[in-house]
Amino acid sequence: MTVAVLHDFSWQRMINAVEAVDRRQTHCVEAFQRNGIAYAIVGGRAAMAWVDSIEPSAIRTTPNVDLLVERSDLDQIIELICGGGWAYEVINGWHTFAESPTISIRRRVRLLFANESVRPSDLLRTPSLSESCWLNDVRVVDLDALIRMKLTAFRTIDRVHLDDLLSVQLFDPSWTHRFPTEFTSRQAQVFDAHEVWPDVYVEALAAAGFQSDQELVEFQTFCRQSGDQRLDTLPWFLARENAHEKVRVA
Amino acid sequence: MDRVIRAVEKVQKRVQRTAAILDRAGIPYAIVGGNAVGYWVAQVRESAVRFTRDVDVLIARSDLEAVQMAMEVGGFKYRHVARIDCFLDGPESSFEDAVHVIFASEKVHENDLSPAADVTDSVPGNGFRVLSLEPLVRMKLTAFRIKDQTHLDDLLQIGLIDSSWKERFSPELQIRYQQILDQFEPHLGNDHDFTGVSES
Repeated sequence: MTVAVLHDFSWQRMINAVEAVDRRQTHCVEAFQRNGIAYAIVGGRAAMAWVDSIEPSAIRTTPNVDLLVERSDLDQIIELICGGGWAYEVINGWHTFAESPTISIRRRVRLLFANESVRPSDLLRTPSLSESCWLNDVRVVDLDALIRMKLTAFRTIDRVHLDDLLSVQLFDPSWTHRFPTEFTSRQAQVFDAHEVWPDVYVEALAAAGFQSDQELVEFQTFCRQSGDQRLDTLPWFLARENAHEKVRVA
Repeated sequence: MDRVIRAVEKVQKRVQRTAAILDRAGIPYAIVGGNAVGYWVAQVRESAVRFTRDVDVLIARSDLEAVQMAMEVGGFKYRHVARIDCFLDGPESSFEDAVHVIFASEKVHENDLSPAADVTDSVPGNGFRVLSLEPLVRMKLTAFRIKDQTHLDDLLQIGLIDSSWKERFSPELQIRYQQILDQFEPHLGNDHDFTGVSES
């Protein structure tokens, strides 16, 4: 049985923890930029950066810093980062860095290598570093490539990040063709599970000329039975089945 | 980074203002949802908290009118949209940045496996009342959207819940709990700073 010891709750300590994650990222990124090492922020921090570019209040913080680099740069990276007094450790195959060896794996900066599979079973390799762009003075993996990585990993947290990107309309079902067909069902799961905010739903419903959920349901039924193409003209979240039930409560 | 911290502080202030208003009015409530998970996670490991802007408050439906009056005096604006009740944080605020209302002891969705917790199932936090851990886990198992599953995984990761908790829930929720256990990937072990947790 696991017993967790509780400490006092403190907003300030939580904010300090968020800042510490950012400092770790900044420490590595600045060293890379000073020394011309190609990198791109990937993972939850990349999802956060993209969401932040549209709607800062919609961000979801994460304790992980994942950086995509070239494997051929590894020796130089170790020298650079550890030269600043940081600890380097390979943990279960992950190359990790932190300001102290006592920092947990979850809070360490982790390296991913470009054009490699993270797990042997992955359908796709990681992107190349050319698939990145500047966002707020740091290199971040391109949105297409980030979504591809998230669809490849597709753990629960990856699906949450995809949902976050959907929430700020950074992608939608029109993107489906950009990814390999093996990912079509994964994308469908993400789109189907997405809950829209009530005001977005109500405004879209009214803009489409419906007075009630029932009218929408009847229109959908008619279109599906008769092959009426007008269903495709609705916003995607109104066109899906049980649209009126996929409204976010909390 | 300043924007990130401002976003976090905005959520913190919304939680604290809501709590202060309801405390002053003597209305029972509990903060639920992502911020309640954050409260519990932070007590074991602050760095594991995933901040979200969702501020969800559990109240009794019979208190809605009193909550509405108190919140509007406190600067919030009540809205009821698509069967959902919320308090906008001022006239310029969006629904996304509102305080969302969950009614105690009622099902959030008609087909939910269990009702929301009772509002008395709460503990005093630091400046706000928050739902106790077990009813919070039950609500997360009931909602069981992807983000709820992530919250449950976070609670497992830091040892606030474990496999022994499964028997606390109904058979239907136990199936979901087992799913979370089956999906669980320890964060590669070697958690040097995991001193708050012991295995026994």
